[in-house]
Amino acid sequence: MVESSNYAIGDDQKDSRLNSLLTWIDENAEAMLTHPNAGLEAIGVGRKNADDLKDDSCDWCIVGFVKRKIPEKKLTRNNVTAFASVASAASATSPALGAPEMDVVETGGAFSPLPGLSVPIAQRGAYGGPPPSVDFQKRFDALRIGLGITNPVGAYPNSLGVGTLGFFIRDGAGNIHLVSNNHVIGDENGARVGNAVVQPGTLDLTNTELQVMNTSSKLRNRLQIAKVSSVVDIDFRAGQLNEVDVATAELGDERDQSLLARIGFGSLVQGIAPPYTVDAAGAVQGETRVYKAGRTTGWTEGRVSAIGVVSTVAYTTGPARFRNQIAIVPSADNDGPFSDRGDSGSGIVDIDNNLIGLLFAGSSAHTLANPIGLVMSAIQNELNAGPLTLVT
Amino acid sequence: MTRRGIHWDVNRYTVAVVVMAGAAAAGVLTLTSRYDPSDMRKAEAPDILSILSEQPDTIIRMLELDEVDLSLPTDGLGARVLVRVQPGQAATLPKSIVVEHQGALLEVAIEVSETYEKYQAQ
Repeated sequence: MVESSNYAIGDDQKDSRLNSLLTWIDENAEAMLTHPNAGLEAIGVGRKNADDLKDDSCDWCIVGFVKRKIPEKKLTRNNVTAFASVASAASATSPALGAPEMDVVETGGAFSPLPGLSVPIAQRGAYGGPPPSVDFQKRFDALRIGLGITNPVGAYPNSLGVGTLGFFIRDGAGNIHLVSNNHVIGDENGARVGNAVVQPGTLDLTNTELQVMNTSSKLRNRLQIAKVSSVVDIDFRAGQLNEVDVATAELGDERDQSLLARIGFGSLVQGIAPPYTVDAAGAVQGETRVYKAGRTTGWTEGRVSAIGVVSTVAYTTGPARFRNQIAIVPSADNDGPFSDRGDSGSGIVDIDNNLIGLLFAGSSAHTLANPIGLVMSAIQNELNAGPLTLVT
Repeated sequence: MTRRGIHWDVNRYTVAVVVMAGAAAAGVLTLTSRYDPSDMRKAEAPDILSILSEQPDTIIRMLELDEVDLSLPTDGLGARVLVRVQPGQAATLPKSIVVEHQGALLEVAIEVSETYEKYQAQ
């Protein structure tokens, strides 16, 4: 909602109706806010019956913010003057603008400053506890990086799972695909192109949701967001070396796609970082402070501790050996591990929000990631759908 | 000659490389190609990155360990392969190994850490 007549909203600013209302606010705000019986906390310009200023299906209007909305027939009993009457009286001083459309919005209380707390020592702890973070395990209307997802085909409802949505790419035909791990949406080579991918992951459904969506078909109808479009096979044969654990799924139109580049509720992914290189002594060239948004541990900060990693990773199917991997340890300021089970598939970004890797495995001390260059090359070969670009 | 735990048996242009395992020999790698010993040099970090990428199994075979992971630390404290092994296995490993890579004979420094943990797909 607009709370200042100086709020700029781009092209909409040119809207003459909006300009009229902003002028109206400038001229009448003082009279309205000091009206003894209006009970107004603030006034502004907004869209009638809408929370989004860009929702142009709703007309511009004057919005009055009140602590508590009162039914019109009870206004007199409560000694409250109707917002429309207050506005009408105020606008008598500027009749040229006419009577504007009105909307009343409940704030739930008086506006108060939100800077640092100052409380008596007896209340110490009353506002404590960890700060809330983004719940990546819930259903999101607007898809974005870091959400819990899974491919339930063949497993649900007998088995539940979840991993993380890493990032989005656009193929040569303009179709958008989400990127995650093979073992998250590719069923460790068992998935087929066209399999459903759902958000949130089935492991994060409530008991009620599990009862309501007690078949794979009902689950897909309600939660499907994409269909598997490519799976880069993991080679589980002894002695074979892998480089990536990746699969993609083409987005349907079930959810809002306007925030695909956003990392959780944070900033936007910017691009793809160049591969790490080293000088003769092993000092790495490139930004080694890294971050990820994942379904389980949320937003975490880490540091690249080693590259060129060769190791064996335990999957449900069995062990698979990898090479050319990136090892990450949590930063000193990160409480807990950089990642945990359910974070697989997370896109890892550097401090400039450029992707450096795709998270896929971990131990108690380290996280392993596929280098992003290898991930993109592998998808390019497997998807075979023209040049790929990162959705930024 | 003996150099950093590696025994060189020079027979004109043929070099046999013996990988020592601490005090006791853990294994022997004989290179089949002919090399001039003067070709050998210490591996720098880019060499190690390339070896880890192109022939990690060579190193794993030389170390004679299955449960191991290899990496290039990015701390700038020297070019070496960090070998994570299970507790009790460090004493059996050499301080360096010699690898034939891209036509060159490279002495690769080894740092052993008994902190191996199997990675789990997350």
